[in-house]
Amino acid sequence: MGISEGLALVFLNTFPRIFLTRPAQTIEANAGLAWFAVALPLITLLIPVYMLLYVFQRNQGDIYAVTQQLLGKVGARAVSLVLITMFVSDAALLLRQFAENTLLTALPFMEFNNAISWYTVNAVILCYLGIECIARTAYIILPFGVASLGFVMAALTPFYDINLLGPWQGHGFGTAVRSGIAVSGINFGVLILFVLGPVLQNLRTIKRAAIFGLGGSTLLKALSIFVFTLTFGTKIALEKTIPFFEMARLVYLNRYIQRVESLFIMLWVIAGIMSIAIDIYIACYLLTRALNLSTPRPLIASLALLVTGIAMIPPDIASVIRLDTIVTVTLHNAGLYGIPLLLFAATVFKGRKKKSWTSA
Amino acid sequence: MLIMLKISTEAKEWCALIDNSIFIIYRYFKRLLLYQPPPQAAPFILEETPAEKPRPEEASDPHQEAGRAGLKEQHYELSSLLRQAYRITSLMEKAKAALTQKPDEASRLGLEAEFHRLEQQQQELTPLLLSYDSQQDRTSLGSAPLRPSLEENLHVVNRLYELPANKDLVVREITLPLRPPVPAVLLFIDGMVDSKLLNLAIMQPLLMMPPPQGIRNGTGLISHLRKEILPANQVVAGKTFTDLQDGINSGDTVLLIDGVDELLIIGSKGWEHRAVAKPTTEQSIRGSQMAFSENLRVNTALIRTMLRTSDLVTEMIKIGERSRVNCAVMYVKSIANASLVTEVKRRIGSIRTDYVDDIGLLEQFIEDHPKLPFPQTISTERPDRVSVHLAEGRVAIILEGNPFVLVVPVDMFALLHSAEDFSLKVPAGSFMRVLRVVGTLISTMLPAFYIAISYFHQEALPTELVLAIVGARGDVPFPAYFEVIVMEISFELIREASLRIPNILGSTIGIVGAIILGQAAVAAHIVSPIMVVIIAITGLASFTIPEYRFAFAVRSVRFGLLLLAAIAGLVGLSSGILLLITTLAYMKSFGMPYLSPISPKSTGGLDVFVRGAVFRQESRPDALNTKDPTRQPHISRRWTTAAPQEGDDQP
Repeated sequence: MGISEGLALVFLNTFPRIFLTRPAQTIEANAGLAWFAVALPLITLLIPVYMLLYVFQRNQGDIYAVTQQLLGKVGARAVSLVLITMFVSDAALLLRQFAENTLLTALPFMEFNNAISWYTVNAVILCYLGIECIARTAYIILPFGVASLGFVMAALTPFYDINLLGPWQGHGFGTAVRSGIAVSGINFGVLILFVLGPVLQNLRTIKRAAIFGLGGSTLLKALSIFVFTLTFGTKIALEKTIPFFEMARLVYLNRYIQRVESLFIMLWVIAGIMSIAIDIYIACYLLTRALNLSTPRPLIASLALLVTGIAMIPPDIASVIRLDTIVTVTLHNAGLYGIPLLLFAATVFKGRKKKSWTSA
Repeated sequence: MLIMLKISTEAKEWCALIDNSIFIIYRYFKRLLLYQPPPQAAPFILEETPAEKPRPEEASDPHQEAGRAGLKEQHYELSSLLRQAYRITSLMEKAKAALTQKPDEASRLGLEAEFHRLEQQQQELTPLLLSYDSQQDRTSLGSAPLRPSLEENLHVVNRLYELPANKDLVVREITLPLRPPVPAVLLFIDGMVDSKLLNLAIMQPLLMMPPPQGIRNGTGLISHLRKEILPANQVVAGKTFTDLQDGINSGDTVLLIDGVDELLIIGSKGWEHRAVAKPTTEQSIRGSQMAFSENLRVNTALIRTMLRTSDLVTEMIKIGERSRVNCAVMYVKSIANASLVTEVKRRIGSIRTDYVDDIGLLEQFIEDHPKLPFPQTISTERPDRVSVHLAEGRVAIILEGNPFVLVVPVDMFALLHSAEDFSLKVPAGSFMRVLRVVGTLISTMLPAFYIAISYFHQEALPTELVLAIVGARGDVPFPAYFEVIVMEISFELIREASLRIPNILGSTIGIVGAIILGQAAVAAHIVSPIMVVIIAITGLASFTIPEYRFAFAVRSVRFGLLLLAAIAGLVGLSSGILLLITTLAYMKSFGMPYLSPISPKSTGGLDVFVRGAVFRQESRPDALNTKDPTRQPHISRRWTTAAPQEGDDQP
């Protein structure tokens, strides 16, 4: 895999929440500065990325191998366990929210169990085909996704009202910074590049994929929220549970091109399935490494079943949204900043001689 | 008296009637109850062979089986020894007769030569060799080496070709005019050789050749015949019965000589075959108008006429255990990746099957994903197309008796290219390609999209269109997906039927059938007019795909997407599209990703979705990893870099 595939993996794993309720939550927390709260983590996220790049410059292999070199087998397994929990929880939360939104927007008469199974089965098939295929597919789909978003945002131009952005400070600059950093854990997908490690050829590939993938995803999310605020305003935006769907719903070019929101269902269904599949595959991969197994394939179906089971635990969608925030603020943040910091500290402490990084 | 007589007559008649009835009933029951031999012979029943279902008594008695095999071996050994004994007796009688009369020099030499031959043959009749020969079955016998005895060799040939029952093989006995004369045999298959060539270039030189001086041993004779006597353009020596069979089965003539444990395969192919004609499935307005035929050598020559380089290598591989068919692997040595060539040869060479008579069968034996509907090779009948691909660094596979050539490896986008894309200018060529891509997308998704929208997402349609569709469908009692299925199947039936109907009528009946069927279906309220329009557009779009097998794959995918759309609307359709793209990303054609150069990203050489200017196509497709990635220099039109000079017209 190269930069394109790595970039697409990071983008597809960090972006899909834009199709869910997260933008509305961000606007609720930051009002007019919501876009800034989303864009800000791009800077903070570079810190763990560069820390990991420093670590990987001095140690060879994927994140498990590197951790094993620095912290020993027990440490490597503990770190893997944290990462597995992060990816599994992310998959479960996404699965539940996408299934609920499918019922809400596209298939109101479908059984909830069928909707959630639909996503699971698709994700499992993707996982069986392998991360390389998923990454390549992500890379093919990415331009269409970005172009579709661009189309929606451009088509909403007549509805833009600059006054809706005010007050531009929102709930205050400090609040935006705190809130932005607090939920920056949703971007932990950037760790995928380090989990896969040697598959991505070299550190230069990882670095570029991380920066472009994360940068593209974050900026597009910020732009979407900016346009959302510009179109609906802060007050109305709080009432919209699925902002992107509402934006697409507002598109009116002429009497023949209107109400195109159903066409965009295709976009977020594909993004959702891919993101869930990436999460499940990475969790399986880490489990395979931690248990010293030869292939992740036999684990895929069992883990997908586990994810589905977890996804069905919360009683309603409101609980899921609350839980999503809690998990992001705690577990995902801890994993995203804590693990790189730990590995960085261990590398500095051990003072290992710099080794050239080669692909496996 | 008369009355008495009358009564007596009536009584007799009654008795006769009763008697007759009783016997009829008796005979009926007798036929019913007692065994009767069947009125006709037992019908033929194709029973299982002993190999499939061993009989219990045979399976349970290995000693009996071994004993039978032992008897067979002994019979073979004794027969060989007996024939040798006859030959010795014959020689002794000849020697006796010669000694009684005063022998001249010629007869002495003859007897001496015959004695040497017998001596040589005697060495071959050791118990160990005889035992080995006798244990060989028909297949393994083929790989055995030739014997010096012509009689023994002919004996093996009889076993191999089931002579004299098999009438195809001609055994022409001749005597080579040597000193002394030597018996020989020409073997060929009637109908596969050129009679004129056989008579003039083989028989005549052999029968009329001057006796060579000082040549006695077999190798010398073979060499002499090959170099000085036979004028045929291809004369090859062989040493085994495999060589003999390959030669005869390929339409060549085989020469066996008594006392020589070698044979000569003399080129004499001359069977009837179709001439080089115009392409029938890949017609073009511009460009070459030649198509491959069934003759392998004609096909390789056609490619060579297009790609005139000594670097073009043609390697031959025999495929099939029973019918050994020639398969040519062609590549440009200085361009094609060596590991690709090795892999192609490895896959072809490792096929173990009775026979492969069709390039489609061969394709299924060697492709990466035979269970997926997407073609992983280019199949073409145009030599110009093969030449272009060879020059790009691909490998061509040609099978004897097939007018289609496979080119590997292939990416999906190459299947949307047509032969004359480069014969047209850039805008025209690119436009045609975009049109094909659009056609492919329509053909894949339009019915599924219609079903998804009309079932689950009506809000996506303008109100007027929804009303028009509802109005048109008002009288149709079936659901939309039933309509689609009915129309799709009808369309497939018409397409399939028009292929089977003779050429002159095929297209007419196809069009007439489609129109009548469509109108009748609408009139009968089985389908709505909008559905006819959708299926017609879909069908028309599918014809824009230049590759037949790819079009078939698209049709298969269409049905899958239709099902998903009927179940879950656009959610189902998007899942289907995602799985389709991932499957395509998963596929490989001879190690090359199927979606390259898009994914994984590589340099496509301005020849992917659209085509670039010919003078800007400087590099070969990156994914092929060729030995020489540069096709032409950065500035290929050098006339643009300098003004015309005086004397430019001088040679």
